[in-house]
Amino acid sequence: MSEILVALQSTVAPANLAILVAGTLVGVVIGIIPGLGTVMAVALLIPFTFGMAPEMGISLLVAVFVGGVSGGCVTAILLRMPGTPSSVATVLDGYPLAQQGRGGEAIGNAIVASFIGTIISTIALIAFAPLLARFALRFYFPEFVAVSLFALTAISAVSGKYLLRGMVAALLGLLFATVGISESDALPRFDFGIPIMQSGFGFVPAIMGLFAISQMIKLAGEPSTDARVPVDGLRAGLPSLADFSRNLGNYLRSGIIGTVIGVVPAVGAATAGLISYAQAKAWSRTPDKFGKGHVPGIIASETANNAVIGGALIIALTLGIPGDPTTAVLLGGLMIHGIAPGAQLFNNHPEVIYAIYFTMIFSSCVMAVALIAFLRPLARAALLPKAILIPVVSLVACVGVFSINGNMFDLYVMLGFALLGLVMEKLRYPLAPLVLGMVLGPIIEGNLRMMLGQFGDISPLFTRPIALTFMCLSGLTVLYIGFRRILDRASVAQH
Amino acid sequence: MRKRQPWAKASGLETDYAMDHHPGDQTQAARKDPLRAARFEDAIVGVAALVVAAALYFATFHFRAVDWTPLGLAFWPRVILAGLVLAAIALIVLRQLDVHARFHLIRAELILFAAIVGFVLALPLFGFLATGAAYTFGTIMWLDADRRLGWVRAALLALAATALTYAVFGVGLNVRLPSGIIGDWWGL
Repeated sequence: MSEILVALQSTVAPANLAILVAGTLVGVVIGIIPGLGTVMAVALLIPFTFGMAPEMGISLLVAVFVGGVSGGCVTAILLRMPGTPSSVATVLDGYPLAQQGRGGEAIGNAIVASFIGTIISTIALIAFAPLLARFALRFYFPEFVAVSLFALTAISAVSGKYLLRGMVAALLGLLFATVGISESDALPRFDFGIPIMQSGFGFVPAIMGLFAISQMIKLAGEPSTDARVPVDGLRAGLPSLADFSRNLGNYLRSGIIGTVIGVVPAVGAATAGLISYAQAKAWSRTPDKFGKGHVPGIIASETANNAVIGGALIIALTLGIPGDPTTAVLLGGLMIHGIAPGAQLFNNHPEVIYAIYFTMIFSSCVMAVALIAFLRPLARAALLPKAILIPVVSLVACVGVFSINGNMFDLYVMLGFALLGLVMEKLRYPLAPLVLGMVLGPIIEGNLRMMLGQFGDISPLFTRPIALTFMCLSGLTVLYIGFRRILDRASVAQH
Repeated sequence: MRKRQPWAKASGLETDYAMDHHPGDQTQAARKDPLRAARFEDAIVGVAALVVAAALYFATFHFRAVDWTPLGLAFWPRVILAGLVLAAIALIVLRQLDVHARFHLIRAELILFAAIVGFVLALPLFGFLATGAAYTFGTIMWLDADRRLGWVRAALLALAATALTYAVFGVGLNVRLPSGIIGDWWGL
């Protein structure tokens, strides 16, 4: 109880509250701007957390996450360009509504849905995370290896079009994680006699290179848009109490779908939005209205994509396994503060856990108020000229990376990963498995070596029930993707 | 209707092409000879992965031998490298044809990357304030090709962005940003 009060006091302290508000607003703005995304938003803010207490640092990153996912709806509705991929299903009904001159109503409903989705998933996080953490205390080396392999296999399988390319990306990530001092042996690997290489490739420089610098370089190659944000007379039209009650089932169903999908590694907010949208349509008495500007479609998509946040945090905080690049960066931010995620986090640092709970609630309130009150100026941010965006983001990314250790090597690492990210994107190799490989590499290696040291072979992966379950899930994921590919080929050949 | 490719049909590659083909989503290069280019790219990635894996596998023999852990330093990297070799062979053999995957760097991308590399290399020499302002101003001017901002606003924006970044990181977060030769002259 005392930890709850400490976390609450810390969260509502004026300075911390100001940080949360700023973090949420930064997240909303970055979420609104197409092409930036939540991974970049969270990564850019990591250097700002260095001077903060761990619970405040992670709260800032969670606030950015909530703001980023929520902000994506504005451009999805007004410009048919989702600010973040998570809002892709919002386009289906949001843009037609905007074309009918009801953009304000669409955004108002999206804001309420985002708020409800975050709150539902926060309740799930509060209810289930401690239970899962207690369950995770039963995990031993084989279980950690199996669950990490499952996360890596799942993300390799679903994040790109081709399983093999996802696998190559994941292996590259695992390989990059081996550079530098080995955690198990305290000796360097792949340092090639260069002393600075012993520190390995930092996670933040790698993320900044892959997601900030390479995205800016990609953006520079894209043609400038002449689109204009239709903000004249735009006001967020909130749903009436009657409308809200009528859609209550939709909110709850979509919130649950989003939370459950968030728990499953690799599936992500965009898929949650699409599945929830399809379910809302299936349950609707007027399915023919979907896709033509129907508010329940927006509610389904936005509730589900925000609910993914809580679901993703359940698995990330309790098992230390990130399900997507954004939670991977969040966990990276946590580890920079010397806090290891996992079941022990609930015992060792309960204040961090409670601060995350409060942050999710506060930042969803801030997000809703900010988007309602400042919709027009925020919407204008969507078309910030790239002549301003690219230099500023790249400058902040470079300085942010330098600020971690104050050495130039991190900047060179960032440049290397930026080039790698650009080449991978050009060749359509997914980046998410590479990031997860870098995070999970040390976890898999440490636990695998301990398991082999203790049991002598890999049989515990197939003889212990929990480990076996995750190994089966990994196998089934690969088989399912392979099978689907064969079916696709057969279907194309038939047509 | 798309003309059927007899050579593709004979080699069993036509279905791949049809599956990856989306109207209006092809570059000029892809339209010319999509299958050959895609096959070439996958083969290059596969061969590059094999070469890198072989070189790194060789490097694992130079790791220090340790007696306090039974599996040693090289165990895990070798497992990964073995996986990479298998994946590279599969890439070369299967050649997943993706006509959208064109390795085609646009000039603007190369220029910006070169600008960022230049900024990073110049940072220790000229310090953050001078390099940051020059990089930001140059990039704004280059990207603002239709001169909507103009050089005065570009200069003001560059100075403001650099000063704000310095204020946040250098002053607020106490990061010792590179001062370079200019900073040394001024005794910073």
